[in-house]
Amino acid sequence: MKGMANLSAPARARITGVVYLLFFVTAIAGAIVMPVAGGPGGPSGDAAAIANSIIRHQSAYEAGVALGLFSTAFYVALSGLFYWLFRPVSRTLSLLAALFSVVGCAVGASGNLFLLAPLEILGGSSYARVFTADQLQSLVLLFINLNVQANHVALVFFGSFQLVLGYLIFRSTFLPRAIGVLIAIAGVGWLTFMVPPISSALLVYLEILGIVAEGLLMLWLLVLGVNGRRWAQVAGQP
Amino acid sequence: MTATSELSAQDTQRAYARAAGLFYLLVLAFDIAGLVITSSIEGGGGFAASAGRVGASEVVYRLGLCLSLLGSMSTIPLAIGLYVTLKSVDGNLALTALLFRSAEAVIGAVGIVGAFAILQIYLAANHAAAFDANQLHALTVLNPLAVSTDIAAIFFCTGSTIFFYLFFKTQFIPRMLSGWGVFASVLYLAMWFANLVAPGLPSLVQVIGSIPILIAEVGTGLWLLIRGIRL
Repeated sequence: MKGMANLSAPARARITGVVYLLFFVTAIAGAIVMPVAGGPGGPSGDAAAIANSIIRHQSAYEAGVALGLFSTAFYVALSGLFYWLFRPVSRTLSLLAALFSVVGCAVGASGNLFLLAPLEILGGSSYARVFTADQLQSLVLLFINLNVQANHVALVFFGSFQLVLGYLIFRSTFLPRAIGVLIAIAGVGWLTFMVPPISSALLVYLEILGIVAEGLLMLWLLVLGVNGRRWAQVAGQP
Repeated sequence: MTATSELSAQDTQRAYARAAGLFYLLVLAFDIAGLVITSSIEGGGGFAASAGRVGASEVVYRLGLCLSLLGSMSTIPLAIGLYVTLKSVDGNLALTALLFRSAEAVIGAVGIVGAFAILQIYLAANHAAAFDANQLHALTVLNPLAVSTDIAAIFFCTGSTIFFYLFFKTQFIPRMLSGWGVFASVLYLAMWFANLVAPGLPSLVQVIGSIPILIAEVGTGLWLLIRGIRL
């Protein structure tokens, strides 16, 4: 830990970029291997098709849930790293951003619990036998939809996080202002998940905007880090 | 610390105290509006009648849930505002209270996820589904929002008690107000614990138990917003 504390701002920014990359990789891999879409768009197909898909691809389903949890864990680490990076700009706003992000992660992680329920329901447990096949499939769909709702609620918190983060980047002087503006706009986009008709209509654009904005920030941190001289100036270090 | 930077730190503290006052009122407004909208639509008269009313007013019901979500989100800036205002009194206690209020926001948000699921069940009752009305009603009884409200309230009360205690140690707001806040928070905590241990507290007791904390929060919110803190 002492070694980490002694790292320069550009080096820490690159570590932030690496953790960001790990988040992206695990989140995208989880979405790819998952046989049931649990993202903001929700599942497609009827209850029977979804239940059968989970039974036929159980290992992939479990891997998707595990990768989703890993990506959440990386985002919690990322929240802490961003707090450290932007603390010199505004300690309080950095803390606010970190809390929004961590609350979003906690809500998202709790949503993953709903993805484990279908395995229990379809696993042939004795208490599940009191339900008909139709009812079991409907219960599976209900839990998958619950996960989607959890993702929507989490996205609203992430929207608030990105709005504050965008402002911090804009004010920082050690990262490009354009990235801050993009991140803030993406944050506003995620906030539309409070009004489902708007978010449904804009879903594709919101996802593209979110991936571009966060992808750019990740690449910038990974490749270029931050301007160490300016970071030190903002932090009041010689 | 120079005189100028000390003044600047005090200005920041005053600004965050006013922001906390605003968010005290916003959190209450969002939570109460959300609760009034959803419960007035659900109403009484059994599951089928509630499902029919929710189905007919789906957009307004969703608006009520979104207001509850805004209440949960606004808890975070409120807690940050109180933390910045009070960390000079006792940084560790202020941070503890901040974490309790953040945990309250998480539990509240998870409860809202459950409330959206209950909405799905209400909507399913209005058209052909795999479950009959009685079975759907049984599923709504598992409403996570009801349980999460109890748990979130306990985290809220603990955070609120600590923040009011920190105010009480200072002259930032009148001691009568901060002392009342400590009393009301502890009373509210006791009520929710009692409800967990022996569920089914009469609603009249719940309403009466909520009045002192309502007075404390509205009073403190207005005081912080209008008068600010005395440093």
